[in-house]
Amino acid sequence: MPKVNLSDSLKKVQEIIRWFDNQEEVDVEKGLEKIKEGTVLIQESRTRLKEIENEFEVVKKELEKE
Amino acid sequence: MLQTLRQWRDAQARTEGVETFRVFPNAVLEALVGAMPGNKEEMMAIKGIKDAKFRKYGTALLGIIKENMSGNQSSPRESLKKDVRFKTLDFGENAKTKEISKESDLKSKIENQESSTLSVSQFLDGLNTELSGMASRVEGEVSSVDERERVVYFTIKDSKDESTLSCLIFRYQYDISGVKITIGDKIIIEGVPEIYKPNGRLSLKVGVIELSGVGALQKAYEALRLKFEQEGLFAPERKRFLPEFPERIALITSEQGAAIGDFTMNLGAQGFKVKFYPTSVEGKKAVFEIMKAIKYFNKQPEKYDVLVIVRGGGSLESLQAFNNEALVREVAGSLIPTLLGVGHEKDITLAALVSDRMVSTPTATAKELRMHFDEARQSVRHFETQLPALFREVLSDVRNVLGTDSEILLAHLHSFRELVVTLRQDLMERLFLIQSAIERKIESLRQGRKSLNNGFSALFKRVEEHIKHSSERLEQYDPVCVLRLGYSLIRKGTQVIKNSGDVKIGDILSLQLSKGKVNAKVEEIFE
Repeated sequence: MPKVNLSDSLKKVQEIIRWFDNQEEVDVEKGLEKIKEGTVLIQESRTRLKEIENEFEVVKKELEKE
Repeated sequence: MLQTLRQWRDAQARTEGVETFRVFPNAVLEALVGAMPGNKEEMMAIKGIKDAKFRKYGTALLGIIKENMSGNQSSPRESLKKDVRFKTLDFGENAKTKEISKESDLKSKIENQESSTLSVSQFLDGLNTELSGMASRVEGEVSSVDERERVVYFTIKDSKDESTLSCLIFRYQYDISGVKITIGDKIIIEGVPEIYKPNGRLSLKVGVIELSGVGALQKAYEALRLKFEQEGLFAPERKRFLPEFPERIALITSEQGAAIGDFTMNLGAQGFKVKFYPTSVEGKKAVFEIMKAIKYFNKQPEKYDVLVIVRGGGSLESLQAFNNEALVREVAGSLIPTLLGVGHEKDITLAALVSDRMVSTPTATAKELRMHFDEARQSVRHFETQLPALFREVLSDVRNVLGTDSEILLAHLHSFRELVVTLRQDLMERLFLIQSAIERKIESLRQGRKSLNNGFSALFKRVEEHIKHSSERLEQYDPVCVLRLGYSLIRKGTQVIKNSGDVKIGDILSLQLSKGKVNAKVEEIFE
């Protein structure tokens, strides 16, 4: 699965919401496309935001020195 | 043996305030164990030990090796080492002094052991070996300074009496210390005493210089702060934005202490990839280690989203490392955006001021890193309800619009129907009028035709009568009728003869009679 860019995904969802807010006469077909796109973005963001344990790696100083 | 050498090496590094590998790397210690050299030549044959190293550590190493090899056999130097005992100031144990022994007199010992008489050099080497274990932290007032290209020589004196200590520090260590000493400064120095063999003079080889007293520190802090400010290192336009969702974190802090715990505990489970470089966070050692860690991460800056340095709170003195000029410049020069969470009581550390983003504690640092993840979760939850609601709203709007449109359409249809009815009626009326007009026209035409017929008939009759009358009149003038009365018509050729002058004697004349023709010849003419 391609890496999700959370920042971009959330911005795109906000743009979709703005699009709906700014439409005086909504094109239903286009609106449906936007909803589909938004749903996918939300799903991807949600997956990325699931709680994942942090990975810790300590720099091996001895190796680094040599 | 290796363990003993390592312990010696680590202790030596601590006393000199340098990294262990700067004394001897592991490989050299292992080579020493393998070769077990018994003299200078054998030791110098080992890769990594040259004149300078041998001068500095050779005697000590040979002593350790001999001690390990010969067990109880004692050389003159070993006897010396065993017998000569100093009051040592153990820096690692808070400068606790311990008296070990004063059981014998050095001079008499050397005299009594004729076979173990030492040369001056050997004696000084022995002393230096002992002195190398006497790293100390000393406070005093600077009484002279002599800055050379590679070394800075200075003396400090005791505040109570005139006791004086000669000191030297290598230029690179002096520069990194961030302290510019002048006569009269009260300073604290850390170093190892050593006798310089060419003149037999004892000096403290200093690794660390710090200003003593809060006032001096404050003064130095303010001066450095002003300097950085003038250089523009605190300028807002220098600050880089930290990534909104950092994932790869380069972490620098101490393995011990609460900071690392507070940081990791508050980081939450965000899937961060944290690479942790443990360092000291207090004292001059911290300056070297943190700078080294920053350099390490900046070797591959593309591998990290943010460079984090955290430390728990402390006084101005305890946070001195973070006000060190060299360290501050290292932070400022980091290619990786920096986030500093160094606790402070009053003055913000200069390292924090030059960083791209600073917060006050390790906990706040962790929260800063996870902040956008938490916000994003809230946003996603919000979007999940908002987006369908928006679409429902849109559909509802469309439904309303359709309802309104259909009503308008029906109204138009109704109007149209009414219009059609009206038009039809109008058309019918007009058609009726047209039809009436046509009928009238037809009747008029019919009447006209009748009148025309009648007119024509009368005209024919009149013409007929006129013709008849004319015919009758014409008949009256017909020459045939006259001929019947006995008259004749005389022609000469085609010319009708009306005068006697028209003819001459001998002409043949044609006589038209009522019935038939007669030719006659003119014989005589009567005028």
